Amino acid sequence: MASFNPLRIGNKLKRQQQHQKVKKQKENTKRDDRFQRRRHEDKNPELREARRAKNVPATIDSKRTWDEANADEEAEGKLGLSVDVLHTKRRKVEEEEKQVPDEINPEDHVGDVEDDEEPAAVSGTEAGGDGDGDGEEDELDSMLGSDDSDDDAEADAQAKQDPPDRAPSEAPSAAASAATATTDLNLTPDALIARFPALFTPSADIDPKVLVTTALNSTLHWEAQLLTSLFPGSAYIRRTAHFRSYKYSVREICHYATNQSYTHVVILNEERKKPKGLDIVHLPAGPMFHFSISNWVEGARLPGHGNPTNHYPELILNGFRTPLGLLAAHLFKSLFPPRPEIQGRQVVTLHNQRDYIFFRRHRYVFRDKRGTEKSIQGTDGKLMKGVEEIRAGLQELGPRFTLKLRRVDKGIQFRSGQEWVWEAGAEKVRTRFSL
Amino acid sequence: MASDEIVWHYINQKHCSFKLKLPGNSSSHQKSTKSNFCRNEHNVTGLCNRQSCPLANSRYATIRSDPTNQRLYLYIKTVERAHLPNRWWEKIRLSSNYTKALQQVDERLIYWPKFLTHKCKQRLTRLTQVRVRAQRLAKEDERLGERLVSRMAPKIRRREETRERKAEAAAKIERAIERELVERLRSGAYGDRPLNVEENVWKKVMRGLERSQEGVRDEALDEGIEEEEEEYEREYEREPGEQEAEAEVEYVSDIEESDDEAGDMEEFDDWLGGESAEEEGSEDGSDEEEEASDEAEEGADDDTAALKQKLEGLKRKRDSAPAPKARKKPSKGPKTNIEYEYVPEPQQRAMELAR
Repeated sequence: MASFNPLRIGNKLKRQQQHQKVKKQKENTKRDDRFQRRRHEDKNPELREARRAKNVPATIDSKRTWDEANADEEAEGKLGLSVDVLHTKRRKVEEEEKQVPDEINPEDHVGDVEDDEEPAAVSGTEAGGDGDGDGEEDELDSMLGSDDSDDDAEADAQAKQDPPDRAPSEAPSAAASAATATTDLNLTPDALIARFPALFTPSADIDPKVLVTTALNSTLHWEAQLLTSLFPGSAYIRRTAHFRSYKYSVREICHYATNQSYTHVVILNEERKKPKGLDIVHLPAGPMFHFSISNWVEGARLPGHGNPTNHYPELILNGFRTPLGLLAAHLFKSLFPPRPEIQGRQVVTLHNQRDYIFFRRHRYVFRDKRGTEKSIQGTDGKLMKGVEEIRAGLQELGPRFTLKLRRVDKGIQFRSGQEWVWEAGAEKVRTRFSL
Repeated sequence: MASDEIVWHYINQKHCSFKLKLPGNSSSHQKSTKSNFCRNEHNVTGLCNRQSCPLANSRYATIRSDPTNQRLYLYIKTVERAHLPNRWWEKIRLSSNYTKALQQVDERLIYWPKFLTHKCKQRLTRLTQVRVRAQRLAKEDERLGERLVSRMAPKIRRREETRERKAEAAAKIERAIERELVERLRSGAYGDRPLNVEENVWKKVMRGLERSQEGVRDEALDEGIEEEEEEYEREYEREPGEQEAEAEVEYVSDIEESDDEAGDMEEFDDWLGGESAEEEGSEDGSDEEEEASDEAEEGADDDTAALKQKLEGLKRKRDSAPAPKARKKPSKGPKTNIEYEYVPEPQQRAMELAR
């Protein structure tokens, strides 16, 4: 019935005052504790590090759940499974070694994988002349080292096929580890490559030629022109607008584009005069990717924006971890010329976070760190060695938008069958992501 | 039959659940803008009239199409079955050929009031036209293949918006970009003399790396690079004319023509069997070593020794030649690489040197 709380003050004003008083007291004690702790830790910083290492906040990215990989061959072929590609590759490496002592320090195994990648990076440095070609490899391999150690620690906790005598994972590392790390595109599983040969093995270095168009009866000509500035080597062709004229279908457009030696067709969908979707067709008869666009912001509306030049931009692809994610990453990679003009200092970033791909375009400059700035931290939370005095300034150019992959068709358009379809029901579990 | 009158009287005056009254013209003057409609699916005209009402006529005929297969059927209601309501309508399938269907209607509704046969044929015509147009549209849609993307349920739309916002907050995109770019710079993905970095910054990076001993670096190369870079700096500050004077004072050489022409050196190198001039200074160290070993193999002749000395002296100058080549002009916009082209010396000179 009526809950009688003897401690509750009846007078509202008095009650509020009392509450304020209690709250103030609590906050005061907390503040004093904090400052005391800070003074204490300023004297010996190991305490701070220990405390930080123990109290890592849990994020969705650190709690990410993966699907079970039934048999490895099956798993690598499918796109529906949310399997961490890095994790799978590492397991393969470890199986090859065939040493399973009871207490394994994951870093020991990381060393092996790292060794494979290090010579690549080293040769990049030595062969300076062919910087761009090797640079392409290096930009893919560079983040591998720090990824592995954290990834392994995470993955060991979550993997279901690990041998039971493996040591329990160490304290959870900083969340910004593999979730936002640069994807190493060399780690694609072979089965995936076998399924999409055209996408994964582009013959030599072809400069991509992109045909940009819109849906029928669309009014987004300006935005489509922006897209042409985005993709070097692209052209925008309008759709037939007259009521009685023959409307070319997407298949016919793709056929035409293939004949004209285009490599991709990009279709911009519209809703209420705003860009709503992006369909990318990989020619000829390649897989078709449907994305939905949200938060399309033009360059002019960004504060402090710059104007892009037509230098070939560099590419950064972050956070693509599953086979489906790698497929998307390769698609984006193929859209841009393979050899960036680094004197242009422009970089296009496609950052995947929780299945949302954030597209950004920046102009960068390497400059000295100002006194008030912090140094750059690596993915593991520690400072990057050798470049403590360097910061990169970024000026945003051009449009920024968010993509979300909705459907992958085997051929062109819906009736050619779907490789993968986004389902709303799959998003019920907060921690499961498909890219 | 008699009941038809009663039914109509009631329907018209009082209430009919199929009647639809819309604002418009209900008088008999202008027939095209009538406002009383009948929503009964068996009505042949669609209007609410004494003649068109399927409830108030015990003898009636109409044409309807089957939604599953696009075929037209003739429905006939006769007086003889007026007492069996669940068997009122006789359904006759018509041919899909329009003329044949017309003939079928004619023969079925022979001796029927002209109003009904006429209206049935009109309805038949209209429904075939509709069917033809629908088929054409379907074919066009099939060809175009542009599927209508259905609107997202509001709950899902809201959920996605929120998640996107949270994901963007968690992503820290600019930090990641910065980290990646600096990592590429540090790992040397931009090459030995990158075009997108300023001199001071690049030197800092290299010094930082050496201090932390990351990356494989030849110690011999290191010093070579640093020395050469210092040379470049010094030489850049002075004018090019003075540069030559300085160089000549520094190194002893018999050869007067060797000002700054690396083309000369290229010929020389070919003759000696060493590697030709490279752009990057880093190669020079290894070249020197190689050539030294080559010459040692050939035999320690006085000539070759003298040549070797000259070579080394000239090599220094050769190094300075590519310096202006890799030099960038500081500019606010994207940096451009200015290349200097030099013509290699003609053959005669090379022969002179050989002697």
